Parts: sequence; structure tokens; C-alpha cells
Amino acid sequence: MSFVALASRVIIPLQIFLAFFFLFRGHNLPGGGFIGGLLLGLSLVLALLGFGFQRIKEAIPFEPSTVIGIGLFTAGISSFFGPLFGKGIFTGVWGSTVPFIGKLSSVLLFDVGVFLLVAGIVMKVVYSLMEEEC
Amino acid sequence: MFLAILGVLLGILNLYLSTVELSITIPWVDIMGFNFSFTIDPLSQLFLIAIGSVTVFLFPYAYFYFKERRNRTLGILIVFLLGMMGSVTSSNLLCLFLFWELTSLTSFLLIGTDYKSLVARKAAMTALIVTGGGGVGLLVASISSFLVSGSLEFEAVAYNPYIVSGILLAALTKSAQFPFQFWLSGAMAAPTPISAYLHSATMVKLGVYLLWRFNTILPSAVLDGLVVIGAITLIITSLRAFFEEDFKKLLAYTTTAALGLLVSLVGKNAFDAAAVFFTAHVFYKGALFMLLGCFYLSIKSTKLSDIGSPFRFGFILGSATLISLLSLLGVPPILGFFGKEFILKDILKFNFILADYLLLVGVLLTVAVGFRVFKILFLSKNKELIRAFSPIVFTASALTIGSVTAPLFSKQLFGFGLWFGFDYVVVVSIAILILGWMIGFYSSPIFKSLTLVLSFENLGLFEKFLALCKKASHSLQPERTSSYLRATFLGVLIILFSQIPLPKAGHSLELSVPIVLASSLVFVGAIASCFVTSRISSILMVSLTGLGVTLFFAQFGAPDLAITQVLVEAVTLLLFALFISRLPAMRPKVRGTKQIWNIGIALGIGALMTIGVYNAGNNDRPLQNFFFDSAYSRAFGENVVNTILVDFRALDTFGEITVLALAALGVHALRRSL
Repeated sequence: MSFVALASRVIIPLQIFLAFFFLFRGHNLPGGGFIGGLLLGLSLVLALLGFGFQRIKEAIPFEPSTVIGIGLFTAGISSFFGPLFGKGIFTGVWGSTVPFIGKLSSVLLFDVGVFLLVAGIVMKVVYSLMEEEC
Repeated sequence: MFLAILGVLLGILNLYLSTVELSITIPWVDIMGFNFSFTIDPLSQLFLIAIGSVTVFLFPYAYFYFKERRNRTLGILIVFLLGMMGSVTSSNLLCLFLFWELTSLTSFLLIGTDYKSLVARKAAMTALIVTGGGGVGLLVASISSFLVSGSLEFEAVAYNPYIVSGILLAALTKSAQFPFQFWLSGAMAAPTPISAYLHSATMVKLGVYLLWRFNTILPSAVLDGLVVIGAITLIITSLRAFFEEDFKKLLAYTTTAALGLLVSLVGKNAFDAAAVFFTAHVFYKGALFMLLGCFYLSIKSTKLSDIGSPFRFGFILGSATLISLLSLLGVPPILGFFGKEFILKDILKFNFILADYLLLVGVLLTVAVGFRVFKILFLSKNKELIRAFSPIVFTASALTIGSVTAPLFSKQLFGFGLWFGFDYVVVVSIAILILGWMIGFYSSPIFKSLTLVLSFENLGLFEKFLALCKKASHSLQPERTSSYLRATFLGVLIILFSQIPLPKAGHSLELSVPIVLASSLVFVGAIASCFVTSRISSILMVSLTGLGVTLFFAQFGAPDLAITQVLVEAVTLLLFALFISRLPAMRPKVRGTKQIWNIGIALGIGALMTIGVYNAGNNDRPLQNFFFDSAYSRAFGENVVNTILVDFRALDTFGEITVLALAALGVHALRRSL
């Protein structure tokens, strides 16, 4: 096992944890969906360096475009919570508190959408560059 | 669909009965004056009744005509109907623009019904470019109206050169007037019901409607110009029609001719004549097109000589064709007669001598065309019987009933009786019929020489326009990244330097160890990246500047930006690490004028950024204070940057991530094309 593969084994789980950590704490402390998504994407690039494209592609069961689509859709959906509760579009609606995640809200949902989308884009770029025959 | 027809029927009935002006306004974007406002006044009523009458007959006709792609076509037809109804009832410029372009778009889709044929696709594209492009004139008119009077409602629209030229452009393209007349004959690539509906009875009349609607704000010189343009169109297209062998194309040319006549009449303020002729034309031309569709389904040809006698397709078809043709000729007591009578009455006043003579010649030519068709069709030797019996024969023939029955109600509808009395107009009318008969029956060889005139008609303007577009996009799209970057940065420079306030003196920057360190990192990285010769070192040097910027962000209390920056740097570096081996070697540096340009632009951008940063320190920051104050109280977050991104400016962020998603698709497409 190469040094990079060994390092990725250690770093990747930490990085994924950190990605979610940044995502959820983003509203009050430095972080947020964009940073979280970049971190998740970074872990993917690292995994590619460590294990090679073929293994990663087999291990991840969904297409990058799907991730991008779900992210955009989630962010879009979050905009409708405001009007549902009689407020303007994209106005935040706040719910109850959940441990680790914090307060549930439409704003968080929006950030989750950004998170997925950014991660999906890094994935898409890497995939389309790695694929030999497109 | 039958419910839709029932609704239209009831609507027409209601319109006949009502004389009250209806109007409704639904505000939408208040600050831009954009309301959905609709008014139904007599002019709208006239058009609504015409559209409605044709719709009632045409929808069943189309239903039986289309065996394939029926749902697609009928669906688009209903959307088109919406656009049409909206166009003739809106009383807000932007609202009108929306519906107007809706008709252009649906017309594009409908002409391209047979999308596997190259001819149909080309014709659809031409129609879209001409009519959709002309519709942009309405947008111009909207913007200028808003700038001038702050309102887009029709009553606020006043004379202004931009408004008038916008309206003229939209109207002349839509109604296929000279020099835009070429698209309409091309649009005949559409199936016959579509041609009957869009390109004869309804959509192409929108241009006339627009001129009619804004007649009061058009200066008299423009109105005179319209009379001349209409007369030119009338004569050119009538001549074309005279020598056309294809019945469908012939009908298209006579439609354009009729539109020219209508435009002239509107230009002459002859609204009675325009209204009667408009109604007559909707009935006889719509009917002729639909009857032609019946022939086509039986013999799969639209050539005049192939059709032979219409009576060989059955008595109903034959007599309906005869009546419609007589209406076109203006033979009493059919509706077309009244149209022609009113027109002649107006022309014979000779208010505008040159144009009036042109119009007279034009009317004579249309009558001659009618006689020629009459001669070929009804005096044809081909009497072989063909069974053409299907529901469409009835629906097609039914439309002609309007031509015959409308005059019976003429007193109530138009305020005139069946007979005007014997005066000089009738004499001229009879003279025109006799002359037209002589020309149509006997003198086509003499007229052949006139085809020479026609070679000047289509100057190939459209082709030249397309060639120009191609050339322009080629010069703008050299497909080299360096050229794109140069153009982009030059544009940014020009725009921003004209906007940015000059730096004020008196602002001091505190120097501290981290800041000096950060700036030296940026400085060294930037300078070094200009001189290195390999890709890997160039990337590393650029990363160095990124790292320096990160330090800046961290130092000035923007941890989010710092984290993002460092992560972007990391992703970029790792991506390069993955792919550096596949990249080609660096191209040698450019020399000469290009290099000087590059250096100049780079220095300019640098200066711009410096001034920007310097000014940012000087501002009194009202926004910053707002966000600091309300981040927690309004968005319930302590991280100000994050609350801006996901709450205050969520719509912006949404737009940005959409762009990102599109960029990812772009990467995909780029990779595929390599």
C-alpha cells in the first residue's frame, strides 16, 4: 500500500466528518454549505489519488449529475417554505433543535442543497477529466 | 378540446352582444410598470370575433386533419390561441410583448411540425428570426415608454421616436410587409391547417392590429410611409401570386397582398374599410386554405393544375371553393364585395395620389389573380371524380358560410345595407372586375415580362443578415482562451474604470507583520508566475498568491473566506497534481503587440483592484453595519457571512449555484468534444 493510500485511509473519514461539521455549524461559526461541499469534494480527490478512479467509481453508487441535480432541487425547494407560512420567498422558517445539527430550518435545507451541489460539481469535474473514453 | 371550442363560441356570442368596455389589471412588477392589464374595446372585439370564428371551425378541422402528432399540434395550437387572445386584449406594452412573442414561438413550433424535413426547419427558423426578432421592437418600445412616462399602460404611451420605430419594426415583421415579406411564403412549409390559422387568418394580422392600436401616436409622415409600404407589398406579392403554380404558395402571396392592403388602409385612417375587408379576408382566405387542405389529403399535391376542378371532389367542396373565390374577387352579395367596395370608396377620394394609384393597381392585380385561379380551377378539363368525404370537408366548407351570411346581418354588424346605390364606386368596381377578368384569362403572356421586376424584390437581405451574424460570431469566438480572457478583462476595465470613484487621500493602512508577510507572498507569487517556464511551477506560484490572499482574509476577520480560499487552492492543486502529466507543454510566450496588450490589460486590472480595495477601506459602510446589526436579530445566525449567503441574499446564492451547475455541464461538454 502506497503512502498516499495509507494517508487517505486516515484522512478521508476525518475529512468527511469535518465536512458535515462545517456544514452544520456554519450558521453561527465559520463554515457553511460551500465550505463543507468543497471539503467533501476534496476528500473525493484524495480518494482518487489513493485508490484510483476505477475503484472509487465502483464504490460510489451514484452519478455526479444526480448529486448536482438533487442539490439544486433541495436548495430550490427550501425557497418555498417561506410562502407556505405566509412569508416571502426564500424567507427562513425555523423549527426545533436537534443535537449536533442544531436548529432545523429551511435555511439549513438551503445550505444542504449548496453542500450537495458543490460536492457534486467537484465530483463531476474530476469524473469527466478522469474518464478516458467519454 | 371541444370544451375549448364551446368556450370560444360562448365568448363570441357574448362579444356580439356586449358593447361595454371591459378592463382588468393585475399588478405584477410594480416598480417596472409591468402589469397584466387587459382591455376589451371595439378594436379588440373585432379581432376577438375574427379569431374566435376561425378557431371554432379550425380546431375540429385540425383534429380530423392530423392523424400523426395530433396531441402535440393541438396542444401548441391552444397555447397559440392563448397568445393570440392575450395579444389583442393586453393594454400593457410588456404584457403585449410577452403574448406577442408567445405567438412567434408557437408559430415556430407549428411551422416545424414536420421537423424531419430540412425545408420545414429552415422555414421555421426564418419565421422565428424575423417575427421573434421584430417582436424585440416591442421591448424597445416598452423600455422607452417606461423611461419617458414611467408607465407601460397603453394610455400613457405617447409619441417618441424609439417607441414608434419599435412598434413599426414589430408590426412590419409580423405582418410580412416589404422588405420582410419573404418569411410568409416560406412558412407554407407548415401543414395546411397551420397555414390557414396562423399564416392567414390570425397571427399575421397582429401587425395590422398593432398599427391600428397605436395609430393615434404615429406621426403623419409615418402613416404616409405605411400606405406606400403597404402598396408596394400589395403589388409585389400580387405579381408573385399571378405567376405561382402552387396553390398554397399562391394563397400565401395573396395573403401578404391583403396584409399590405390592410396596412395601407390603417395608414390612411380608413378604419371602416379595414374592418370590413379584414373580416371578409379572414373568412374567405381561411376557408380557401382549409379547402386546399381537403384537396391535398386526397391528391397529395397542392399544384393548381393537379387539383383540376374542385367539383370533382364533391358538390360541397366545389361550391364552397367557388363561394370563397367569388368573395376574393369581390362579387356581390358576398362579404368580400363589401370589403372591396369600402376600399374603393376610400381610394377614389384620392387624398394621397401616388399611393392611391398604386393601391388601385394592386386591387386590380388581386382581382386578376382571382380570375386566373378561377380559370385554371373551374374551366379545367379534368373532371375525373375523386371521393373526398370526411368531416374536414364540412368544417372547411362551414367557414365559407360566414362569407355568405355575414352580409345578411350587415346592418347590425357594420352599419350598412346590402346595396350602396348606383354611384361611381360601383362603376369602378365593375370596371375592375372586367379588367381583372381580361388580364386573368387572356394576358398572362404579356405579364410574363413583369417577372423581371420581381428579381429586384428579394434583395437577399435575409441571407446577407445571416452571413453577417456568422461573421460577427466568428470574430467574437476565436475559440482561444487567451483571446476570451483578453476581451473579458478589457471589457471589465473599460466598464469599471468609467464607474469607479477616484481614491480619496487620507486613508492609512496599518502595517503589521502578518500583513507584510501576506503581501510579500502575493507579490513574489505574482511576479514569479510571469517568468517561470514550466506549467507546474507556474501553478505553484499562482497558488502562492492564493495563500497570501488567504492570510489577508484571516487577518481582516473573514475566516469563512479564508477557509474557502484555502480549500479552493487545495482542490485546484490536487486536480493539477492528478492531471499535470496529461497537459501539453506550455506554449512559448507571445511576443510583439499582443504581449504589450496583455501587459497593459494586466496592469490595468491590477490598478483597478488596488483602487477598489483602497476605496473599500474608505467607505462609510452602511451595508456592513446593517448586516452586523441584523444577522442575529433577523436571520438568527452569528456568522454574518453565512447569514448573507443563505438568508439575506439567498436568491443570489441560488442563482450562483445554478451557474455552477451549468459550468459543470460545460466541463462535461468540453471534455466530450475533445
